[in-house]
Amino acid sequence: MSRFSRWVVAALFLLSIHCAEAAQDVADEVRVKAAVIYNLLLFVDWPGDVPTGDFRLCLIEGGALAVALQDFAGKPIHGRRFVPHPIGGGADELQSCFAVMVEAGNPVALARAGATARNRPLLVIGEGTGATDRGAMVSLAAQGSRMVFDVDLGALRRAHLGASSKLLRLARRVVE
Amino acid sequence: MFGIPRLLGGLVLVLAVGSAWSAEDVSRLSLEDLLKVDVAGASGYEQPLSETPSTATVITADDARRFGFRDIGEALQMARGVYISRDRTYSSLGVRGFGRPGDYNSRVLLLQDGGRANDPVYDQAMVGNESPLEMEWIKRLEFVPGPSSALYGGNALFGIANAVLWSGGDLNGTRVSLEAGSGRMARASILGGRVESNGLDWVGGLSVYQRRGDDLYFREFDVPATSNGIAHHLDGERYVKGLLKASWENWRGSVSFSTRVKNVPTAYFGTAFDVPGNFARDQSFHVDIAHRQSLSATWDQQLRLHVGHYAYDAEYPGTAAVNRDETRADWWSAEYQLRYSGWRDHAWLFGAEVRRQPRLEQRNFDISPRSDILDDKRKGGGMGVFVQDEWRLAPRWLANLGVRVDSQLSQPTMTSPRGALIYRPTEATTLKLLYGKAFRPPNAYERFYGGGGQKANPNLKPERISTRELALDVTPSSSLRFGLGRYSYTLHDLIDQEIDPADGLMVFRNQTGKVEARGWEAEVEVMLAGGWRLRANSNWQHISQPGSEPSNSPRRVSKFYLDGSPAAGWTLGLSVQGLSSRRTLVASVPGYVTGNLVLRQIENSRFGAWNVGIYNLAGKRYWDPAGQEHVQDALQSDGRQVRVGWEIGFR
Repeated sequence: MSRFSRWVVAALFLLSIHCAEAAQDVADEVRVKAAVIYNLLLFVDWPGDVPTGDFRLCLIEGGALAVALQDFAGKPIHGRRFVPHPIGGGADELQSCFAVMVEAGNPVALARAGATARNRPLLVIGEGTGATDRGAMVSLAAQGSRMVFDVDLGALRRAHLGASSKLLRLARRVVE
Repeated sequence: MFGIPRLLGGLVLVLAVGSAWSAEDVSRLSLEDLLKVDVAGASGYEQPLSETPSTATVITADDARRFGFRDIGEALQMARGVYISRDRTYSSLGVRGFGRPGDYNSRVLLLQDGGRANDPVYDQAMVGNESPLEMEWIKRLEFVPGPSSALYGGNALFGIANAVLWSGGDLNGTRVSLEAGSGRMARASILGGRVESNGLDWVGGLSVYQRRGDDLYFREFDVPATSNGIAHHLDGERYVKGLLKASWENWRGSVSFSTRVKNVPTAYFGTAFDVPGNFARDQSFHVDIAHRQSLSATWDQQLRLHVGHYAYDAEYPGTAAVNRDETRADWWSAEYQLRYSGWRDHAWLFGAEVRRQPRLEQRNFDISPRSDILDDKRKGGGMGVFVQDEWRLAPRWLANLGVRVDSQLSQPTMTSPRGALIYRPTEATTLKLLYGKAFRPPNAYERFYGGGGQKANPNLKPERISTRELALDVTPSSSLRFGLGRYSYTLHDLIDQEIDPADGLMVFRNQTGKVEARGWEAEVEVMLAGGWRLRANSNWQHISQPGSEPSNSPRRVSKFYLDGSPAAGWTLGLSVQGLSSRRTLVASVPGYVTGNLVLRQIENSRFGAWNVGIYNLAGKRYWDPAGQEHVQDALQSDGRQVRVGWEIGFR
C-alpha cells in the first residue's frame, strides 16, 4: 500500500510537471495585479472635493505589490501624478489617500478602510473571497489562471465614487 | 463582434514577447487585455486563513518589530485567549483556558506557508526558540482559534497558527541584525531576497543565537546536598536556523533546518540537581515543494509534497548513571487540492492528503554501563479526504461548510465537520455563528514511550473536541473596532498524563468523563491621535471537569498593546499581559501582570538602526505550573531582561 501510494504521488507529480510545460506563456502574478490596479483606477470617478496634489494609492504594509506598483509611479491619472504610498494602517494616514489597497490576510485593516470610506471618497480595493463583505468596493481574485474582479456598486455610491460602464462590464460580478 | 480583433491583438502580443511577459509589456496592456493574461505566482498557495470563518488574529511583521516579539509564542499571545507557559525547556500555548502543564503543545497546529510543521512523534507545535521557524522570517502570523480538523486533520483542536514567510519580492534586499542582552545573550542574523530578472523569487535566511543564562534558585532543592537550591550555569541555550525559499512561475519550494540545544536546570525526570550535561536537543529538516496550476477558467489544482526529519536527543544525568533519550522520525506527505469556482455563489475545495512515517524511533538507555531500557521502532501513516464549500446564500449571508474524514493506522476513522454562518446586517457589523469538531490521535510518544518513570499505553484512542461560538464584530468608525464573543467547548477522551497508583509510573490515559468549558471574550482596537494605536482583549472562562479543578487554567486572561511614534524616526511598543491565578498539580500560582517596552529606530539610515527592549519591565516575580516530570510544582519565569539590537539593510 505504501509503495503503491508513493507511485501514485510520483505519477501525479510528473503529470503536473508535464501539464506545466505544456502551459502557455505566463506573466508574473504580482506585476499583473499591479497593472490591473492602476488600470482599474482609470475607470473610477472621484468627486470634486478631494485632496489636492498627487494621486495617492495607499498600500497597507509595503511588499512585493508595492515594489511592482513603482513601475507606474509618476504616470498620469485623472490629471494628477500617480504615487503608490505604503502606510502602516493608521486612520490618520488614510486621510491623504484617494484609494487604498488591502492585500488578502488583513481583514481588520480592510474593515477600518471601509469605515473611513463612509465619511469621504476613498476607494477601497480588497482581495480574495469575502473582501466585499469586509468593506472592499472592488475585490481582486484569481480565477483559474487569470485575474478577475468584483465590484460592490452600492458601497462605491455611498462613498460618492462613480464607476464607468466599462469597469462594470469587465467585472466578473457586480453587487448592488 | 470584437472577439476576432482582440484575439489577433492577443496573438500579436504573445508572438512579440516570446516566452514570457516582461514588466514593461504588462504595464502597457489595457485592463481588458490584462484580464486575459495567464498569471503565475505564489500567492495562490497562501489561502489566507484569516479569511476563513473565525475570529482570526493577524500579527504582522510590523507588529513583531514594534513589540519586539522574541519568538512565535510571544507573538501569538497577541491573539485573544492565548497565553504561554514555559518550563525552561519548551514553551507551550494555552488557549481559552486550556493548557495542561507538561503538555507538549500538541493541541495547536503550526503551519509554515499552509503546510503542517508539527513533528510526528510528539505532535509538538514548537513556538519557543526550539521552533524550526525564526520570527524574523515571518511576514504575517495568523492565529485561527477553534477547531480546524475539517481542513487540516488531527491536532487542530484549539487553533492553528499559520506563519506566512517573506517572499523575495517583499524583501527586495538584505538585512543584517545583531543583538545582545541579559543572561549573556547574543544573536546574529542575515535575511535577504529578491526577484531575479528571469522571474525567480528567492529568500535566504540564517540565524545563530546563544545565551549563557543566569544561575537559578529552586526552593525545592534548598539543602546543602543540592547546592542550596542553586543551579549554576545550567540555563544556557543555542540555536542555528536556516531557510531557503524560492518560487518560479507555478512552482514554489522551501528548505529549512534548525538545531536547538537547551541546558535543563530544573532536574526534571528525577535527574541530579546542579549537575552539568542535562540537555535537550531538537533538530529538524524540512523540504517542501508545491505546484499550482489552472486546468480551466474554473478549475485550479495544487499538489504539495513535504519531506521532514526530526531528531530529539536528551541526556539525563542521574546519581548513578547518565541516561539518554534518542528520538528519530522521518516522514513525507502529499496533498492534492482542487478548487472549483464555476458554480455561481459557491467556491468549492476538494482535497486529499496522504501521510507516511516510515521511521518513528524512540530509544532510551543508560550510557555507561550501557543498559537498554527502550528500543521502540514503529511506522505510521494515514490519509484524509476533505471538501469545503463557501456559499453565498444571500447578499448579506455567507455560509461555510466543510468536512474531513481521516483514517489512521490502528486508530478509528474520524470525521470532522465544521460549519459557519456569517451575517452582515449593516456595513459596520458582522455576526458569526460557528460550530466545529476536531480530534487529536494519540502520538507515538504517548502510546509507546516507556522508561524514566513512565510506561507505555498502546491502547490510547483519539481525544475529541466540539466547539460552538457566537462572535460579533463592530467597526463603528475608522478609529474604533470592537468584538465580543461567546464560546463553549466539550472535550471527550482527553489524553492526559497521570500516575498509576499500582506501580507509581506516569502513564497517558484517556480520561473518563468530559471536560466542559464556557467563556466570553472581548476585544477593542482604538486609533488614537498622533498615530498611536491601542489594542486590548480579555477572556473570562470557566472549565469544569470531573474530579478536580483544571490546572494551568486561568479564569481571566487580558492583554494590552500600545504602539506609536514618540519622536520622528522612532517607534515605541508597550505590551502588557495579565493572567489570573492558576491551579498547579498540587497547589496554585498567583495571578500576575507583566509588561514589555520596546523602542526602535526606523530604518533607512546609512549607519543602521538601533533598538532596545526591556522585557518584564517591573521585574515581576511570577510562576508557571510545572508538569508531572518536575519535582517543582511551579517554575519561576525570568526577571527583567534587556536587549539591545542594531540592524542595517542593503538594497
